[in-house]
Amino acid sequence: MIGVELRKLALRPRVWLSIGLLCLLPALVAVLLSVSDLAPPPGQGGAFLSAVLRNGALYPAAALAMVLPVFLPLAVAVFAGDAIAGEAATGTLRYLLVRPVARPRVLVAKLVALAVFTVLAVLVVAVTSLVVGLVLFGTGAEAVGQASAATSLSGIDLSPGELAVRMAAAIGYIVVSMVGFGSIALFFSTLSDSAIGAALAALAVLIASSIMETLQAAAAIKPYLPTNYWLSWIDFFRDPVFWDNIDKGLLLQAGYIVLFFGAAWANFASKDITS
Amino acid sequence: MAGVRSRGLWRWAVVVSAAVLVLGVPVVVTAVTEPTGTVEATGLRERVVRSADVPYQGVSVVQGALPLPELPKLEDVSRLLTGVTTVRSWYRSPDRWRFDVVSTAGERDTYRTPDGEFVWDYGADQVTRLVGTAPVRLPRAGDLLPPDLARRLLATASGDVVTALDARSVAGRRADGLRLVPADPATTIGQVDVWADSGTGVPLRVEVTPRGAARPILVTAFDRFTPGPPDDGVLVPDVGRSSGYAVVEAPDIAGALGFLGGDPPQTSLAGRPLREADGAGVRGVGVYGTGLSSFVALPVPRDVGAQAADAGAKAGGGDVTVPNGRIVSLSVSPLSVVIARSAVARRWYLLVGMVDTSVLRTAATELIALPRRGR
Repeated sequence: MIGVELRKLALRPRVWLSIGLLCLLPALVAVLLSVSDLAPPPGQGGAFLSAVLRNGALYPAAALAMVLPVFLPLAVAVFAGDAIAGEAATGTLRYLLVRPVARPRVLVAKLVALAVFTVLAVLVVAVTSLVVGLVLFGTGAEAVGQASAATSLSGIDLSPGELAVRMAAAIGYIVVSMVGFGSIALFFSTLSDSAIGAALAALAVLIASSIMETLQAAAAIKPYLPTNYWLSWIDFFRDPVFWDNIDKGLLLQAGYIVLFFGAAWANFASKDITS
Repeated sequence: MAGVRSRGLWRWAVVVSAAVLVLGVPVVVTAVTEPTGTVEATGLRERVVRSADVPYQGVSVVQGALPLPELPKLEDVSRLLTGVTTVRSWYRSPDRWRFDVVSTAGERDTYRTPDGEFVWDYGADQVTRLVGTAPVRLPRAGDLLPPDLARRLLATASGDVVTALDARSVAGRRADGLRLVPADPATTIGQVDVWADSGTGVPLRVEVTPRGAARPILVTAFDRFTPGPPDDGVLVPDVGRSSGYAVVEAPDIAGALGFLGGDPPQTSLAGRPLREADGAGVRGVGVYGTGLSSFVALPVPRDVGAQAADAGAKAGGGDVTVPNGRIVSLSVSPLSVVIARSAVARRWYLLVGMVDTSVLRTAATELIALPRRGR
């Protein structure tokens, strides 16, 4: 079942189209930065944006900071929202279940496909951004005349190896965050026969969570909002690594995955399939 | 159909139970482990004041709610006093510490070493070494860490009575509490609540509430606190070779104010005696009154005074012309500021303190009536 889902994932043009669109924004920003040579003022703009002009090896981090708040969750919401509702809308859900395949297995396969899609999307964004960053901004070696290292947020030099390890950890964290959010969309997908409706419901959660994060009145529930720790992957680039929010973020997303995947299972397993 | 529904119900029961477990366990654990009881407040105050030598490391959150406008060139200060700031800190001793102000846009780290002070600014990609000690500087996040803020407030208000508060859990540790209520009715501070670590006496949480307010205007608390010395490695700035390095001298504020003539401060203002004649080591700066109701009065250059008065008036401050000059007063609870121009002596004065603006206005009226002294 998982193999079937992964094959579908690989063969769907819209999957690659959405990943391609995700790569477009960072590439466009890189070109603009490169042409204008204008970094955001210190302390402003997206994370790492002010640093990429000095070292293009950091551009994957800047690119992830760009796509994470909206575009990546949008792609995840569309993908996860389509998982069950899309099959129901096209009338393939009935055929999928009469094979026979247990419904929980279908859901697990959908969740695995969602995780693979997220890994794929984040990796492609990171790799294309690295290429774009190195081509447009170089590694800083041109300026200092020797092999250059990327600078961490705390000022220490990061060797290429250290940078790669921290980037891999950041990618892992982002994937977990997106799977947590995707679980919400997957649950909505079991409630409806409309993939767009499920995606929009998940996006409504995203927007509501983002708005409440900025409200001081919502301080009590802020630690439980799904988006609250999304940007904590940046903490991998501090020295010492700032684990506090990373740990909390992973725990929170694990909670969302368990609860919303559980809710999706409870609903889908006993749902009347009519289409 | 009924069978399908009942099968569905047990699944939902499992999910709801899991949700209750996930959400409820932390609440129950917190309620069960919440410490109770009080300790003798005066003894606790002594422990807090003496805790400057206790090493620790941790993460604090500073939440300011002062109704400050966005101040030009002072964005860092207004952000600190009006929003939420996360600070990581490593503290070994009064002359060996580090604190980082972290945000999603970068971080700004301040190191104190025996060789001086270093500031790393990620946005500027530069480390700056400060040579000398600035007698006066703007407030920064390190000043609002629970240990620093609590020690400063309790030392300032050493004459005021403290009472015990119930212990509470802060950063997962038992913290004993005390409340300081300033006796002077002229101060704008209503109360200061401090909770200090039972084991070490290091303050873990401080709440400052203005007089007459129902809620604190400043809350600073550890989210994580670990007693014990931090690694030496984190206390030394280790900045990459591609980053910038600058050395700056501590600003010569004493010199800047000295050209004003450096008249000695008045022996009393607004009925409050002069407590310190050369405040922060700067000639001409007078500190008046005692405890949290003390205030500072200093002469300032004409351009600084004029700009500050205009900014204060635009920010909604009271701007009145009096027989001997002009007085602009601004109250940003709990802080009061008065800028005064003396038409008699052709001087500008700045008065700042956590006292009622009427006290500062009285003091300003006395100052601007002083005759011009010969040079």
